[in-house]
Amino acid sequence: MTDDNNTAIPEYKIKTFRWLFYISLLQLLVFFTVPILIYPAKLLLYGLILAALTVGVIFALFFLFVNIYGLFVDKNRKPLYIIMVILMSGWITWSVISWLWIEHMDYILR
Amino acid sequence: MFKRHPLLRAIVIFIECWLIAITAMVIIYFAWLRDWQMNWGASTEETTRYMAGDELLENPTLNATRAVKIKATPEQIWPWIVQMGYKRAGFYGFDKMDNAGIPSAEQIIPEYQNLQVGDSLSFLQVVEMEPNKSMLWVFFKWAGPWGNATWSWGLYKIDDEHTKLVSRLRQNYSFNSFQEIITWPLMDVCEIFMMRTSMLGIKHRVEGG
Repeated sequence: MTDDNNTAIPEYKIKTFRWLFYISLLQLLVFFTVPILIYPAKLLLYGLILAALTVGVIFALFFLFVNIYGLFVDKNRKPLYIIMVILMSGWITWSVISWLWIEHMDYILR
Repeated sequence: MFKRHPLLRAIVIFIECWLIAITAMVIIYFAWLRDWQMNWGASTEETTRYMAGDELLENPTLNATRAVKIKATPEQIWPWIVQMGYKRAGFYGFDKMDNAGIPSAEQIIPEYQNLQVGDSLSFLQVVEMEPNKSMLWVFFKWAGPWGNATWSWGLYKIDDEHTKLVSRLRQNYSFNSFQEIITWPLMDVCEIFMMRTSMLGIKHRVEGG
């Protein structure tokens, strides 16, 4: 009778979470194939940036929450989730800053 | 059995999360965000005040009045508005999207200053104009879902150094075609990004930032 019995997370729950992580990651990757399909090559980078700053932010937020949840559920992969949380936070911060000072963001406007 | 398989359970959780997220986003948008973005920067007085073209559309579904304070006189701002337009001076926004990739003007262009009532700006027509005060554009009928929408500009002097630039966009949504069903929800949410950028683009240029 140790405390471990009370705090241990069932293997089933960890496996379920990992699938959730993979599905969310796939969702993010699929999202970025849309601009590749609809924008001509000349505008591809522009399309990717716009996608990342608009609808992409919602997917980034979703993935951020999944990874935050992962920090508590799947402790063996904590470093991976920390990296993802940092990346997603950076993405969201970048979009907020861009929209706050949009008139100075020539790389989006031109 | 179905619920015990980790992959299937993960898919169910994934769908549930999205349903909750979409419901939350819709509630937040209609309860708070929509009003805020439709009246971005504008005071109650500015949102309720008459502007050119208001009589053309009664009870519009989209009635967006946005305002920005500029450190300049109406006479200094007016030339920047007059020269706006597709393949003219641009819309000071997303040039690749709304000006065929041609960079919006960074200076006043003399040849675009003599705009007259009745002139066409691609999918827009100048319907009313009072120099240094107001201008009304109406979208041509053929401008897809935007047909007959009105876009009004107003300049209101605050003091000797400051002016309020006000834009009002009005349209009635209809959902008669697949194009409209797709367009309106998207435009309702996204149009602010273009309008705000355009207005800040004017402010940035006028103030010489």
